[in-house]
Amino acid sequence: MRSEQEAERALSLYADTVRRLCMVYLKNYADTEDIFQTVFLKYLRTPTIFESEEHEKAWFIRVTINACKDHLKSFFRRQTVSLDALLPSDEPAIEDEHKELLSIVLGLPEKYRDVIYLFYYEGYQATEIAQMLGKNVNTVYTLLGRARDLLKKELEESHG
Amino acid sequence: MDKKLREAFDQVRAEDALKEKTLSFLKAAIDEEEKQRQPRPLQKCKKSGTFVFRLPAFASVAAVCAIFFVWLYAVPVSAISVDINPSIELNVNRLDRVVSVEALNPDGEKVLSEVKLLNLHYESAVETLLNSASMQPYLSDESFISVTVAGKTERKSLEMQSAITSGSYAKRANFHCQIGKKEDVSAAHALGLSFGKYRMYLKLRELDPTITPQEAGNLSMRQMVDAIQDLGGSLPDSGGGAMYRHRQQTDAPFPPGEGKKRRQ
Repeated sequence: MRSEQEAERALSLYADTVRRLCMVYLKNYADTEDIFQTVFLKYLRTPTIFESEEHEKAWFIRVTINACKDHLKSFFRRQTVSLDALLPSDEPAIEDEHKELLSIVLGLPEKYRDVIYLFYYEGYQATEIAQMLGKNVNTVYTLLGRARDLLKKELEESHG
Repeated sequence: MDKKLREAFDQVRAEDALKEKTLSFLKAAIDEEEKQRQPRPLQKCKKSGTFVFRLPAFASVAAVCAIFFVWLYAVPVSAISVDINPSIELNVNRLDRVVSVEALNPDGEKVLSEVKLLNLHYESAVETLLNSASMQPYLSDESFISVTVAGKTERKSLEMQSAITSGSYAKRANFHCQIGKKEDVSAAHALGLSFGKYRMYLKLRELDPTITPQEAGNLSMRQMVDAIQDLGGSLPDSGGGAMYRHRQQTDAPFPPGEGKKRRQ
């Protein structure tokens, strides 16, 4: 098991990434807390030796996605969908403009949400995303294209 | 749109409360893990106690094994009496090894002072003894080389006799190997004789009741044999018809000796 210092370091480096992925996948903040803690606990317990920070970050993304998917498969998962439910009540609110975009992203089917996040925010290439998600590269390209079209369409509709 | 998406996602950050809560959770998990790794005091005592308590058991088993080995090795179960004039007894253990040797007369002591026979197989020991330089002065053609074996069982005695008569030293015409009785050993020792010579003494006493054990002890085997023959007796048999086995093919039961050179 890793040490407390390693836990603190991992939290400082990857907490935001894990948090965003939780937001992409999960329906409420309580689930986010559970998965967030689960992912970092898995990190403490994994015997994996990371070759670099990139390797480590990719591990966090992969494990978070898996944890979220497993949670969503659970029959007893909580069912809440609004963006506000994804954020704690005592945290400063996200700017409206960003909040709207995020709401549109989170309103997309699940299969588009993770590729959008990994591609646009984390900056991974389609091949890397395919590897992380265990999908075909062409599938990732297709998903990205469709997600982009859907986003444009939704944004156009929201702006009238 | 790319920029907007990045900016939007960038707005989402792990809340401090979430990080603090998670860190507390991880610390608790680390503590719990460490507690589980460290055996509880009771378990520790029990575990170490088990080892401590087992140690005497191991020691006992080792001691029993050692005693058994000592008993197996050190306790003689068979004996070989080599009598010429030197009278020497070899005590043999269950593994056919010589575990002790005893000289029953001064000549025997003299020979043994120069020969190491301990831990040898009894065949090698007899061969070493008879081929030793210190024994050679007693091995003339006129001497009577008597080897008497007394095994734990009759079968063992026969086996030992067979093994000894197959040695190179047994080719001498004046070499004789016979089977004795184990019960004679203590009786012989009580009289200060080897059990090989004791058998000969008993036979001689039948013919001449005046002979004393001390007188017999002072006689060489040749002298005793000649005395028996001169008194019209025959040498004692081995009780199993296996006496003097090496000379089975020879016509004369005993080599010609100096019949007149008997005890004074």
